[in-house]
Amino acid sequence: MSNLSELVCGNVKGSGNLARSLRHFAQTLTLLERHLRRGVPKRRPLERLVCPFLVRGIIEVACTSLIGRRDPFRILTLAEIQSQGHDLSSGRVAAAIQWTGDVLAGARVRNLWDSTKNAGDMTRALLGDYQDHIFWQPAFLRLSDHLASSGGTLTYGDWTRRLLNTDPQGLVPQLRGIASETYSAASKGVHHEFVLSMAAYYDDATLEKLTEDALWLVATMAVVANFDESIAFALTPSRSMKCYEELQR
Amino acid sequence: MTTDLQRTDEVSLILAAEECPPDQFDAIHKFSQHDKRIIRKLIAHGPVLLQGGRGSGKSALLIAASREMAPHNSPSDVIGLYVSLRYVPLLQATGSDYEKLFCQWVGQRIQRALANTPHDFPDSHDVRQLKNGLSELSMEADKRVVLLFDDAAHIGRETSLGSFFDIFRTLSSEAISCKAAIYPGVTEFGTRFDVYNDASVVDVVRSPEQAGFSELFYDIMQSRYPVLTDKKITGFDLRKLAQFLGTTVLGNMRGFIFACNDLVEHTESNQTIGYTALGESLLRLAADYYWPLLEEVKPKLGRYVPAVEVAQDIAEVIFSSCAPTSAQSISIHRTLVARYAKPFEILEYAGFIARREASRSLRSGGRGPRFAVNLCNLLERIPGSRLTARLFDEWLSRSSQPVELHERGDHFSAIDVPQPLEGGDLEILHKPVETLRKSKAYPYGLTELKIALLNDAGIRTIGDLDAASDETLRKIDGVGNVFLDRFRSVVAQAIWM
Repeated sequence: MSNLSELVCGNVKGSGNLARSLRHFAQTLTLLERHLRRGVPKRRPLERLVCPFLVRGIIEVACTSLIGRRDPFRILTLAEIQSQGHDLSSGRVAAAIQWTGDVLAGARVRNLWDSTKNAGDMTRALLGDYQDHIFWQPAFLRLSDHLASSGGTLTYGDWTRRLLNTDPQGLVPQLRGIASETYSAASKGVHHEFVLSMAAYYDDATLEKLTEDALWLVATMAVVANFDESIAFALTPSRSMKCYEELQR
Repeated sequence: MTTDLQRTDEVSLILAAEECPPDQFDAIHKFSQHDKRIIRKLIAHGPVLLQGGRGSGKSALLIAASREMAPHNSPSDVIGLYVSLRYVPLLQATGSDYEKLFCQWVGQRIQRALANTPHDFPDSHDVRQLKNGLSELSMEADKRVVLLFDDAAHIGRETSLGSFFDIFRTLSSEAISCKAAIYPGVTEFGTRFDVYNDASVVDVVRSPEQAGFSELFYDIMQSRYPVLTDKKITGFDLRKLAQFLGTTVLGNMRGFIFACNDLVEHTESNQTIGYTALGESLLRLAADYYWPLLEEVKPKLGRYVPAVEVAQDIAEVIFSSCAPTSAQSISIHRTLVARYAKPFEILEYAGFIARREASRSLRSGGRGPRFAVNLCNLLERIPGSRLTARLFDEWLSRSSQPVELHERGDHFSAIDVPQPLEGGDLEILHKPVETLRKSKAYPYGLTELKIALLNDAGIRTIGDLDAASDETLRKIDGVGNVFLDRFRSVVAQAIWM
């Protein structure tokens, strides 16, 4: 299992449906990352076409894994639907994980803790306002405290320094921005929306940025998520940081 | 050795990437792996805000990116256009006036950049025309277009930033990517621009915690100061000297160049540089570079002029608090930082402090940012003000614990919160040209003779000098292209840097 897979899918134990799904996601993520990170000094036309698929795949698999670890209901119900023996290859599964709804919420929520709101009106999106408040910010503060207690003489990678210099309230807006931009840029290649030559849109610098942003996004979400006290299969703080640092080399 | 000294003299005067002759750019600008990744992000598709303090190297990164794209590098799949927004009328305009001036200025700059290419660019008077011109250029060349805006944000201006970011957002498309350099304190993005959704923010900050930090400053020292060698140093080696100076000035490029210039200027050919000479150099930098910077910045601040004195008081509190334990960093309760936001912004801008952590837990309760402090001003406040071998090693290894300032302490009790002035104008434009006399603050400054000639020609203020046409200035006795460039660069430093 790669460092990224371990960070995203956690220290998976047991043989239940959630553990089985996460092991499957970990394998998929390892394959996608290995392919994406292959050193290509100058990309050939076919690689320009494939790279956006890999970027989008990594984001989707990582977000699905984190949703599963954070809120297993979504993955467990999907696993049950898929185990019913229906032919699912020709139609859309209505309960499938959706980018808008499960990863990004719709509009911002103005009054989070309004007592007249029922549970159905509270978005459970991974990067939604509720998860930001109850999950991401406390986990992020625990991560900051862990690093502060490790002493000031260590040398950190660029991602860790960037993370340390992020306001707790600014983390999720930043993750949302990069997630939106990267997913949207990769999707344009998947759907072949461009009208100029492929080289003009997916030049080497742009593909490198897409790759780095995608890896930064999923690794950063995952390292913070492992500091959440209620997430499934959490890595220890030191193991999480070690995986995160290794990914920056 | 003579060649080394001459080369050192020539390049030590180049303090800003915008002033660097294009044929010397690659020889004297060095980039770390982190910097190279930033350059590639500037070339890539997508809007980017490049964030860094004064002298952090933002312009060098923007120019380096433009040089990797067409027309400078014609085989590139991307056209990269570096556009400096150093144009005083833009500082004073708002709304539709700003848009018109901006589009005309940018259109002219693009026409210049494309002068030796097969592509024409139309005159532009509004965003629609500018965007159409850029889209047509992209289609015609079958290349993406990247616009690199330098000096978009000015520390004393906020009103027109909303207009700038509106235009930034409107111009961005599948074929056009906008990039802009901003300062860490820029928070006024207007009503339509969402900083997290409409751009990626890339931080230029360099810190000793970062891999490649010491190698970068060592490379710069070797390339720009061949006169500095291991033989000129006692007690440590050149690599450690570069790392120490980089740490001292908080990774700020301009501060590093000033520090190296000072060391070279004050070391006789038969002398070596040891702890004592290095310590004296740090103290000179504190007295002649850092503290005067606050005075230099003051007239550029418009309505925020009152924040400068408060910034100075806060700096005194910070350095006095760090001095007893020679601590290199300080955590300050977030309530205090929020209360004195503009003074803290000024201190970051001028290189007194650099934010290293956004939210650190304080031992005394609560949380707040942790700032690294510049070691020149810290040495001033340490009893005896002597740089010893122990202090050198301690600062290089970053082994000191941060000190803490809590909200409940009385450190800030005597410091009033500054109130912005009503409609404050940029004072720098009304200052007499004598302000630009050659000095530590203005190494490109003017001689008495040139000041007298400007006065005789009726050019009495910095605003007059900025507004004077090239033709008017060339009519002054003894002014040719060299002095014209000197006038332009010293005015640019006074108003923009």
